[in-house]
Amino acid sequence: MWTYDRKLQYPVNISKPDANSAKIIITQFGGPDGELAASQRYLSQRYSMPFKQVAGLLTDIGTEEMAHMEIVCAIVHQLTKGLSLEEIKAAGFDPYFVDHTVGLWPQAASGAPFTAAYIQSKGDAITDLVEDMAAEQKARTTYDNLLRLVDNPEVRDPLKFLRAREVVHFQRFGEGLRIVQDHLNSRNFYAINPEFDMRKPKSGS
Amino acid sequence: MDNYIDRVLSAVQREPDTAPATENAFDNTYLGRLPLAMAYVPFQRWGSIYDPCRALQRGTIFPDLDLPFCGRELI
Amino acid sequence: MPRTSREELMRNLQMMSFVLDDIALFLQTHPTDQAALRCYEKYRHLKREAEEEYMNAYGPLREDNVYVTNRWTWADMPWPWERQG
Repeated sequence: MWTYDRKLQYPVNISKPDANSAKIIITQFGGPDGELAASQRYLSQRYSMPFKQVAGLLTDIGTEEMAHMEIVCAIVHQLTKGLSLEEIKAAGFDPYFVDHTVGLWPQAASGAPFTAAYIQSKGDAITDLVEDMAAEQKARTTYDNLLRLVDNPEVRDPLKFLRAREVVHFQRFGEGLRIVQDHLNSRNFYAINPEFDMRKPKSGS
Repeated sequence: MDNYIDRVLSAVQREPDTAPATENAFDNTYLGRLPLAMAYVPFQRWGSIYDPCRALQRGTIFPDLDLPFCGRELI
Repeated sequence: MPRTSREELMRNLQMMSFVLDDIALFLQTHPTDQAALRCYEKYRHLKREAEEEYMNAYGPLREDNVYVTNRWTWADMPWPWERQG
């Protein structure tokens, strides 16, 4: 289960609201390669993962992604708190404002709502880990693009931290894949799916 | 961790380096020995780590994984 | 603007906690790495000290460790997603 720690993994202190930045950074909350998608992907995959170490990895990283979601939401919240109506209209933030005021709602920068279609939990150990490695790269590229577009150092700071975590997670998932490979036949890694074809025989047979 | 892939790579590293340098040298000496149609990430080895202040600032304790975006840097 | 004491104690806690997080993640895929295990032990203590220091001065970090007087203090300090200070 989960315990809530009353702290952010990385501090967020933004002194000036900015709806333009909020509009794009929200994509790392509810967008296709954002932290909510990452956390749900990994936490969903862990149940059928038969290799304990890898299930542990999925749990740990899935949990860390929830903490990252919190950081992204803290950024968007601080960028939108105290906005005037003029600032909201000037930034084109009014469509979001109409439906959510300055509340946080999981969507992509495009406005597309969060959906499970952004994630896969295929129930195959190799497939899921390769999916996870791809997810970390997609997230990294998204942070690269945000860093191209955002000037304020108070905002860039936590974004750079979050980007760095994606690189580390990629390495860990890569190692997780190596651990899975070690349990399989290297003459043909794809002969079976260890999540389904390695069921224990029923007792008594 | 003594798994199959590590044993393959260790065996390769012990062989004398007689192959001429070609653009496929890396594949011939290391990756080429591994089974096809699979992705491999090398296991990281533990080394020195950043002090806590720098670690938080960089987003990792590991200098080897500190690979920043340089496409644009104002600060 | 000079840093407040609460910000300093929180920052110190975030540093120790983060180092522990990254070591623990390494240990997930390197469970027998002795150097990493020793490092984990060291930072486990450092994080615990940083937590105690923060909690004694500024209140609870987890709901299972709220110091009970005559009122429930869990919601007292600014929540982590607010601008601090």
